Amino acid sequence: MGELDSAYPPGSYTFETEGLNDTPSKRNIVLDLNPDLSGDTFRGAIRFTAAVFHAAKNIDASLPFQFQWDPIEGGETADFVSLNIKDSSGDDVYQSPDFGEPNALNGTASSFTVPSGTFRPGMEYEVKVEVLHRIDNDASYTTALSAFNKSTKMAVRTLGGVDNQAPDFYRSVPRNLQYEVELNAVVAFCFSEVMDTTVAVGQAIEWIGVPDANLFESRWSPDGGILFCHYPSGLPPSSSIQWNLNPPDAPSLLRDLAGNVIGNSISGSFRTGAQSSPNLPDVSSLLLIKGKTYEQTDLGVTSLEQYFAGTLYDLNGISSISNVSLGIPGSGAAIDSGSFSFDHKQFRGIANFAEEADLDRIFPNGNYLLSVDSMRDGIQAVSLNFTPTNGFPPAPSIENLVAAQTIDNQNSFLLQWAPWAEGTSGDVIHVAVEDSSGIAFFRSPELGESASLDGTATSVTIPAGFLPPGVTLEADVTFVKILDFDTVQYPGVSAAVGQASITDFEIQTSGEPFDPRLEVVDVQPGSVQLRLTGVWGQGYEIRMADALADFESVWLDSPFNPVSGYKASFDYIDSTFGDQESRFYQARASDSSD
Amino acid sequence: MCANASKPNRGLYSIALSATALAVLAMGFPGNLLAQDASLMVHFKSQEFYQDDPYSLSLREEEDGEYPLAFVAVVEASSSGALASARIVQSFLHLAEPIS
Repeated sequence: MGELDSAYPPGSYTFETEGLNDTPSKRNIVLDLNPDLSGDTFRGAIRFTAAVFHAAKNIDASLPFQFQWDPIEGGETADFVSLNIKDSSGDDVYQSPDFGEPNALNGTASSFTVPSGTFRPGMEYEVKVEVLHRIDNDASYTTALSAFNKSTKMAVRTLGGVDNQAPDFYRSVPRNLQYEVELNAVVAFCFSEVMDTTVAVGQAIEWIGVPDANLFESRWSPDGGILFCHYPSGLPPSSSIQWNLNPPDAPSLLRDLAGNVIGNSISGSFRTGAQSSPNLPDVSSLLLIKGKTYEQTDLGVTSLEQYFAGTLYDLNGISSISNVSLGIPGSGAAIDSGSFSFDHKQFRGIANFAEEADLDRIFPNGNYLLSVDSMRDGIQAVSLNFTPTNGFPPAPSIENLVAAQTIDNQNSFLLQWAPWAEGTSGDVIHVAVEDSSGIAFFRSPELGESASLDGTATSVTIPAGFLPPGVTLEADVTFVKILDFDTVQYPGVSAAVGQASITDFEIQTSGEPFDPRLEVVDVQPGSVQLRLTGVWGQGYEIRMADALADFESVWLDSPFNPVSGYKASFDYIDSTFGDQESRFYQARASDSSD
Repeated sequence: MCANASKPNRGLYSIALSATALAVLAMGFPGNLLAQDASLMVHFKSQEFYQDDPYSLSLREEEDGEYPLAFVAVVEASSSGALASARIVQSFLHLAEPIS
């Protein structure tokens, strides 16, 4: 709320209007937007109950449905509460009674029943409950009021209907034509909707390049959208491994819950590296932090009055876990608490709040249970006590921010921050440099790794070549006061909870931005294999033409095969080459307009 | 005439409440028997959460570009073209933002 309150501080605001019919034509209406007499502004965040959250995903449209939410913190009868339902087009489907009408909801309400006939079978909706805390009103000219408004939206689905839409296959991880894949990698197939998890997966996927395809073990993500395939003894080294989803004549087919199958013969391949993977737990570290966010510019460090609860599961292999849950004290297990990183070697989640009171209400102090369902280690759970004795750590303050605006990426750069006076060797400092989409070019070692930064560190070296040239990047330094730490409950895995302060800032590198490079790496009868080298995670397209004009885009992707530092590559096979004598190819950033 | 004033910042601040909800707010405030050029004036700060977990929720940027924190100022005209201008002024700072 920091910058919002800075831009629009508490106080009075005047509406100034000029009408064509009013006398006088100009009107000034003053309304206060201060805290109320109790010092309150917003009411507490609204949370639907867990039972309703689940039930709302399978509503019987022929019956009334009762939405329930936790009692609204601070809610009073003078407040106004409403419930609104929109369909997937954004059109209003239902609205609870208006203010002043019979059965209108006030701030003490915690449920509302929507009548039968509101919904249609087999549809998706969005329900929103909001609480309005009125501060001031004026009826001297027209209806005029000021207020603090807080709302929560939630997805709603109804049973029934007809689904004729085939699910899309998004991608595999390891990616198609990825090379140097670690031997402990779990192959993940990502789909656009909930799939039928009862399908005999072993009969729906053809594998080529492994000693015995029948040894693959499979499981689905809890939401049914990702299929994980695990080769227990490890993938064979230096091998090309090909997969084919729903191959011809397959006795079983991957399909959605309505029976719509994905396209036939979706195939891909990747190549494994030569070195065996070290024998490590599936997970490297588990971390839960509650934190406060700051921003540093050339004007100094300012609080953004933003708060968060974040989880980070650092993995020792690609997709080495299929599921996480976070047991919240006095509440239940949050099951949709994050997503995989670009390379599926981390699982991260974050919940953002504008008020510390909401953070502490949803994520209170007490014992948290961090659980993972891992491929090799099974279900592992670690209980950790989050009970801070002090407030958040001080805001990290970068000492060489000016120098960080002209970084020569060909040289290493020493990023420095002011010492954390209370920081100890038992605490953690973390540094990350990412692009605007969250692709990391540099991350300091994570919790539990031998080179991780402890609370006494005051600098970190970003190696030469790690940052792309000619770009502005988002960086952050985080001080984490470790409140509880454990390596026993999940043997060999560092697990911790902590209280954090994070300072965000921008850095810039000098030079010209890196232009993508395209090369031919293989030619076979009728096909050409191309390799595009670009910047990690950035979107690129390959275009082709049979003459030096009228190029058409044929492939969009982001580099994922490491080359060096910020550079990575992806391959594309043009299997339409046929018996032509020549063809022209072009690579460019996918957001390029030239 | 209906518009919003907002302060985009780091993907968090923008516009929140729907016109439908504003219409709801207008109910129950008597005293507007005469037709004024403005039928509603309202300003508020809002926070919008999204719940995609049974126990957790988060401020979340919407896919359509709407942001979860906002200062919203709305003036509704009683008829098309009834208002020649409208703006909101931070009274103590004397900073004005047009509502257009």
